[in-house]
Amino acid sequence: MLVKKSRIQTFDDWVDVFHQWRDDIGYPTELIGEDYHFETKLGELETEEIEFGHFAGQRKWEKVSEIPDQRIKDSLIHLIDYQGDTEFASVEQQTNLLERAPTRYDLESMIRVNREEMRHGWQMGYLLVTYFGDAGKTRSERLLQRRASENTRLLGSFNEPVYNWLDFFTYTDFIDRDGKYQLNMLSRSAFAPLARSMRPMLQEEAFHLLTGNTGLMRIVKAGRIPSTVIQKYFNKWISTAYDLFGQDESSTAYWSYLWGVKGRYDEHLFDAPPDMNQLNDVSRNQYYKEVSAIVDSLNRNIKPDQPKLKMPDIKFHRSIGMYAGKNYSVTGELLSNDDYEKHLKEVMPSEADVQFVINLEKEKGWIIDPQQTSAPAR
Amino acid sequence: MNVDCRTKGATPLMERLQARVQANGDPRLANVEVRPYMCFGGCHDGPNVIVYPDKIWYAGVQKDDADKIVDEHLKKGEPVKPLTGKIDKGLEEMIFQLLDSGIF
Repeated sequence: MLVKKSRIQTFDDWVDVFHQWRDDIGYPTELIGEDYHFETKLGELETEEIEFGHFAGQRKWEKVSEIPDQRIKDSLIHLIDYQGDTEFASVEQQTNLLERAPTRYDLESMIRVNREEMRHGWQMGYLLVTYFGDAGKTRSERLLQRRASENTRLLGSFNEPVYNWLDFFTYTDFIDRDGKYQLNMLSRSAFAPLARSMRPMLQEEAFHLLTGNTGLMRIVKAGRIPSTVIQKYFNKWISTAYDLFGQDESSTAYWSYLWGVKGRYDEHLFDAPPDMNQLNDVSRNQYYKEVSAIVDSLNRNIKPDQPKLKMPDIKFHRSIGMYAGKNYSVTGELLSNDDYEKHLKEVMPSEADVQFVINLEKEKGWIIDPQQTSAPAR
Repeated sequence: MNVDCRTKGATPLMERLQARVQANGDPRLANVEVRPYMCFGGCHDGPNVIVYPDKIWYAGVQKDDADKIVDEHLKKGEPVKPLTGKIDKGLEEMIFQLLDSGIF
């Protein structure tokens, strides 16, 4: 039997491949800054005990050898692999925007977002290589072999093109917000090294959400991009974010919860056990409410002559779950095939919309520059 | 205030802060306004309270902490140290810069 072994035997090997990946995607390494060092960060556990599921009350697993079932190990590899995949994918998607940053402030923000996403991928690579043997090493290498540009990243949102800075801000506000949910749900995992990885990642992720949220607010306040165009970008990204929460009645979520490896969002705040068949839907619905509130706050700054922004219906443009492949409109009506194709052209960003934003980026004033505004009266 | 912080107790905290500041009659609170904000990005450590322009960020604040913030910080100018230092410095700087700029 011939067995093709991973070229990664140690974490140092993985780091070499990480540097090759950065070169391969053309990331301008000099922008990351000489003072920044990629490192593994492990925070404190809030409790040493497994907090939910079948093993609740037992000590959290520090080593893979303590995990009582191979299926749980496989589940953990799967979760870490998917998380790491999103981190590297996001950098691949955004790199092309670095040369077109609207302000110095935005350039620095994007560099920070990118390097922290790389660090999060690094953290997941570390877990796979350090704890999960040959299977983990192979998966850690694949993290750096898939490409968003080749449509080979594991989840839909992470293969979508990010053409311009409106894409970027919408992405960091809404797709990274899904990331907040995923990291939070892993932060109380029974596998201690995974749980310890989450708090530093969540703290860094907060900056990304804020970059997106304030970027959109600055665009809306500037009033140069019609809200009808912004709406199309919301339709594009928020609909893919719904998919990121997974299947509606997910056996993966069911077992992940039962084994204690992935909980509910803010698991510690729940008094009652979950409806095990609705785990993903509960998170998705909470995400919907959270994003709705953000859209409402943006609407308070939309110019009076512009239509208000709306949430795309939760059934719209889905690729996962009971609505996948169905012809639901952005407002939730079921359409014929022909009408749906026509509808998509109306409600998703067209090539003209993409180019309109790219052209606008060359002008001043399409987004408020935070370094050129004055402090408010106290 | 957004869903995340509301589930962690932001609503009673806000009500308590508003009640203390509005009803107190203390001249040291005459120029204090309590404003809700949609999001400071510190979800994991919410609810968050920022005293501006002092640029002090309190994280993980609960209703019972409101009195300390009013009595110690707003009246005496002494920050409530146990509630500070939990937030990433870069995020703090970004929010303070945005507050300075008036975008928020």
